[in-house]
Amino acid sequence: MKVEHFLEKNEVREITIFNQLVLNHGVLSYKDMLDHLAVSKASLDNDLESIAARMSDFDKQVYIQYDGQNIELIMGDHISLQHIYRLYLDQSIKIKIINYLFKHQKFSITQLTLKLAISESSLFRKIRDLNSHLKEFGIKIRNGQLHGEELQIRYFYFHFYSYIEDKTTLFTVHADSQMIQTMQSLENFLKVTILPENRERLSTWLFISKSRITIKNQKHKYLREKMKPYVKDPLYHKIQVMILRYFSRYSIEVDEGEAMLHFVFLLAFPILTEDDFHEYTLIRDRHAPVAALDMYIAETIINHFKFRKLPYMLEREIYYHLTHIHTQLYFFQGDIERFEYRYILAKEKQIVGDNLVAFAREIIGTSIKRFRIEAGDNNSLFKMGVFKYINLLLLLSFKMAKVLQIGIDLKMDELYKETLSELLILKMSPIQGIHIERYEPNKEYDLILTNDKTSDLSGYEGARVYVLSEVLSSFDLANIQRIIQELNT
Amino acid sequence: MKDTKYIMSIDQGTTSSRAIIYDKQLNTIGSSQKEFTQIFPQNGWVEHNPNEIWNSVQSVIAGAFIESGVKPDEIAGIGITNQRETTIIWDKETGLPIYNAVVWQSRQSAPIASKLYEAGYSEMIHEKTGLIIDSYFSATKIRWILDNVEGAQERAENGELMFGTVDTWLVWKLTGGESFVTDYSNASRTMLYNIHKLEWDQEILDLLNIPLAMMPEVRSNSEVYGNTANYHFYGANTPISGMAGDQQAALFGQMAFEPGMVKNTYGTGSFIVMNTGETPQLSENNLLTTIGYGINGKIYYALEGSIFVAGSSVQWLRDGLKMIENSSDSEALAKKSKNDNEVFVVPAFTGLGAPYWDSDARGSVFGLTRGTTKEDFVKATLQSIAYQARDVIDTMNKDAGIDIPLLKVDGGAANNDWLLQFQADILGTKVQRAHNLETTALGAAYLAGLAVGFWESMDEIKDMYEEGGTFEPKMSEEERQKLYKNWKLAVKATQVFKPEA
Repeated sequence: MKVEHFLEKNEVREITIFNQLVLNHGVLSYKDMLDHLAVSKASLDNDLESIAARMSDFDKQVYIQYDGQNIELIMGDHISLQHIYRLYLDQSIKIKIINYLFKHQKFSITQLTLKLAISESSLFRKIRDLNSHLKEFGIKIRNGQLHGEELQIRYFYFHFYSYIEDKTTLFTVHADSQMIQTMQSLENFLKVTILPENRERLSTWLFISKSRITIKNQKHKYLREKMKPYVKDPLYHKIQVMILRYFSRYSIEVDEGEAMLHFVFLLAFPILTEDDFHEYTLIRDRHAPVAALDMYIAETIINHFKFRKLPYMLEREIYYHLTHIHTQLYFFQGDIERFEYRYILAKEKQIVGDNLVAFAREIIGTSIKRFRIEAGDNNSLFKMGVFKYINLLLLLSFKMAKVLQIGIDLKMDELYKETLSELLILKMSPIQGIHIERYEPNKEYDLILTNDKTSDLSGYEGARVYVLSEVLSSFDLANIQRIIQELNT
Repeated sequence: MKDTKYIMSIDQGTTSSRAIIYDKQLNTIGSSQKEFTQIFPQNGWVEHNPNEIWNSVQSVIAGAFIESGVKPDEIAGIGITNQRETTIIWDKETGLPIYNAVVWQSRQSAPIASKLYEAGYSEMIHEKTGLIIDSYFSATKIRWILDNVEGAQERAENGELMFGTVDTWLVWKLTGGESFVTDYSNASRTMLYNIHKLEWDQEILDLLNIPLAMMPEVRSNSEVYGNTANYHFYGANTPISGMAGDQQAALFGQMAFEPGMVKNTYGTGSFIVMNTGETPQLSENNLLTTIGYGINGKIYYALEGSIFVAGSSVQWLRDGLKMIENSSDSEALAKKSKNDNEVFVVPAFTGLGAPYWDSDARGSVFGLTRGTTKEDFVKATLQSIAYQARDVIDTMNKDAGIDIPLLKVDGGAANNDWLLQFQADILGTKVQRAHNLETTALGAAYLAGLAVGFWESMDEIKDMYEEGGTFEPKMSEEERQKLYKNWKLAVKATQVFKPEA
């Protein structure tokens, strides 16, 4: 599922206009924009008008200028794309439907049409549209209620309230004393520490759970099946005892399904600290498919990079992230692809190159195969999985990268040589793990960059040599980055 | 069932765990190694987290499979070799250790050992177990844990706790709690095992108030102890079929199957083990008598002596004296030395072991002149490793009354040709280096393979032995005697030097 699935078509186009402008230094020609959106002139003009009307909310902090040739974005220093997304999402009817459903658990068509001030047919259309996307999560709005496995429903709401609906309104609601108490009991009982950034996540989950707990006939069939290998897990046992004790004080009857939900959540998202998680990894039950896969994938990565020895703390960190990825893959289906993730992914692909992306795809293939889950194209969880693996591989590359010594040896007039060398150094400065300088004879280098086209490059004594095609060209830069990556692994 | 083409060796050492997959011709198909945390709670204490050991073993199993591409169901059997004496006690129900693993080097139970010694139990314990009372062995470590973990003694008496050395812990984990076993070689290092009767000694257990109920069943070194739980071995129920403590596994890996065969592993220290045959020989010179291995219904005993400082003296040259940049430089420098072997380095940094047993002695250097060079100093340090080995081997000879026709060597420093030639010269005995220096892992692989019919017999294994060089003594008898006499003199002088603190 994508964030834009909560918006109407024209709203998605407007967001795309903003995106394109940000990606193109704030300016794009009218023609290029038309080509990109593949719409008629009239549509684009309408979109620009609509944007102008909506941006009045920002009190001239954001506006789009069109001079008949170019479209330009002007944005205040304190405004980002996120604020613009937020504006669109706040006005979304589909989001209001989900919100209503969450707060009231069910609705009647009359109630909702009145509340949202839309026609019945419009409401039906929006529900149908929402259902087509909720399908990915295995849930559905039917007869004014959300149907599906309880795990999937809470998981969807968790995403919804973490990434779609405005979080700030939620926190005032659920930062009540009962929530704080619950979190403290959880910390005491499990003997763990919940850090402030993780508290936010946990409180969102607890808030959702609190609202859902009284719902009768919750479905846990899939969850129970998936939890079978976990029945002896020590953390699950603790959570089971904790949940039963906690609810024995209230008139709410809960069964082990409730404990399972919390156990899965605790492992699927960064709630425990890395230290607490490490303590758990030492005792977790190996029946658990996630434990086995974590180890298998960690070793696959170590083997791929041919790391002779991985620092102990880094290995712990890898396991920490892998467990979150794998627990989500094992228990959940569906994900929400956020705008910014796709942008970051596109950027990262440029940096990491095709090899690492292919390796990340290979890993997710292994994970899917080992979990024996169906790899449908519509499950965004797999796409996000690849993205998470790429990030993990990048993290590992950065942390394991030794500082490569790079010498620039340009053969040209001294004036140009000095200037171009400095420019090249500047251009390569964002690359981590390198020390770059003008070449000095008798000094050892891992890589020499030169424009010397002569065939005899033996004077560089063991250093790898790259002959620049065109100093400062993106072609050369991409090749140099590939070589750096090769030298680092 | 698929064709089983490989044997996996798990070598669980003091600082790292390794898994190696071998094919029938003993080619290494894949391997993986992982270090784990060393815990030093107090001065002289060394502990490991048993679950971290277990995790590292799980990781290296996965790593070896991934590197080799071998499938788990292609493994015919698993052999385990391990750091010896390291003591783990865990809860039978939960499988959770009640305390960290107390590592063999750890001295926290030294007061318990001292009490036993002072109470006059040395002879009885030596006679029954072949060992000298020391906190090095598992017995006092078990007592220490039962004393220091609240309620542990009561739980042990109620049969709720299990004791094991690392081999036992790993088999118990790998089989999903199905097999609670150890082998002769590991049992004989606990100081609780009667090596004559081949049973846990009730008298010593009573003396230390250790319930028999917590002790594992002792089995031979080559038999099926159980199968891996499929969730611990990537879907396969593979037999665990070989087990031995690291030094005994190296003895087996060196194919020292005949009485009088001796192996020396040159590591940080040196471990010298001699096969003494089917009758235990109790040492009169403070060497340890231990079970080498038990196979096909027969028990082979061994004498063991250790040298505290061997490879670590080369590290001292490198890190302390900065005389060399890499340990491997020592060979070239020794070759360059022009002197007449008149310099003697006695690296008694932490005292002298067998046969001197002088813990107060400290390192010394003799025979320096104005003309002594760095090369001479490096050579003398390498020579000290060989002299010390001769001290132990001579003592073994004396204790066992068996001639030593051949010294089989392995370990890191066995790559040093100069050292091995000098070793042969100073012993007057042929020195044979194994082609594959990973004799510990190989020994475990042989034991595992023999139990499952991967290899038919010990004769078949013997035929596969590949030597990596033989060093015949070249020194004249007169020179040998002179040098060794001077070494003894240097040691004597070292022992005299006991300055006031």
